[in-house]
Amino acid sequence: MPYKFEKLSVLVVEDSVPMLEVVANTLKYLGVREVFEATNGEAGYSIYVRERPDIIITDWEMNDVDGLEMIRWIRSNSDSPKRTVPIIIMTGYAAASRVSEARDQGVTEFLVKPFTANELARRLTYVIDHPRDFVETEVFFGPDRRRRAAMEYSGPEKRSEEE
Amino acid sequence: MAKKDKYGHRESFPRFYKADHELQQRVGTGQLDPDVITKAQDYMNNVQTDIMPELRKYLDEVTGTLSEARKINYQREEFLPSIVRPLMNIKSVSGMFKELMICRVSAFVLTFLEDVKKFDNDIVDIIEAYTKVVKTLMDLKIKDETNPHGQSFLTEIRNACKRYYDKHAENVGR
Repeated sequence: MPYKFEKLSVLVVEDSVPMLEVVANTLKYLGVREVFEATNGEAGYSIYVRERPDIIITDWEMNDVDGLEMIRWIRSNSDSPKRTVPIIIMTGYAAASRVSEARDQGVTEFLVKPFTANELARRLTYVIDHPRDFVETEVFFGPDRRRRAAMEYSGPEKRSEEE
Repeated sequence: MAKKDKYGHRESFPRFYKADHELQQRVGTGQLDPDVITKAQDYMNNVQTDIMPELRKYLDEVTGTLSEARKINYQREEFLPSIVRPLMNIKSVSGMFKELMICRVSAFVLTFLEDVKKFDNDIVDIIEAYTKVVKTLMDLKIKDETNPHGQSFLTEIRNACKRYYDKHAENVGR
């Protein structure tokens, strides 16, 4: 059974107009029913509040209100309609430190530019198939990051000591 | 058991929220249709947008900031983000619009700049060489990443970065 992308609405926020058009049109080719477009974080947030898209795909670096600032608003503002909405950040940055920085702001998934139609589709299906638990502290609201922290174990290696 | 507020949330932090499966139930799960992916990729491959004006704008940002940075000899690290950002945009846009050689060179320099901690004269020289290479690739309309001229430019940049790594190991890595 294929995914029913025709039941999906996606907001794309990207300040490069040619890039915005390519991403939005590719989503339409993939069968996404409704694609909303914005060229900065402020406009993106307004559309998100009004239209309540199922998934948000946003650029990181944008003039005025950038992607991370918009994500902070989505995750923390009182008028945010669904603070747990899946957010995919797309960026040319690929360094691990950038991924951590984005994750600390509440990003759900990371998509490195340039990407293919297949990679874009797979990010969509990933956030659909793997909805995340969320955690809220005094300073953070976002997807629970513990699944990755468990991989960063740095304690003694019991088995190697036994050998 | 932790006390809960009127909404059923724990009164104290941290609070945990279970994953919401509503989207999964609506959209379903299964496989991606390969024909749909192929059609979407065909569209991406055949977009005819002239991306050069946008690439030149980003390149101007890099060269402008670089010439500003050249004027001073201290605390130039603050200029790095203003160079890395348009360079990252050059990599992204060129790659999405099939300017593959420009994308490849930019990706290499971006990785290098994300690694360095100092902004010394050698770094300035590498970025300047990069801007000249990208300008030449644009002027000669070299798109294909297997183009021999493009390959030799990439090798030059690669060697310059390697020389830097060898000479200034203490300035590299986070």
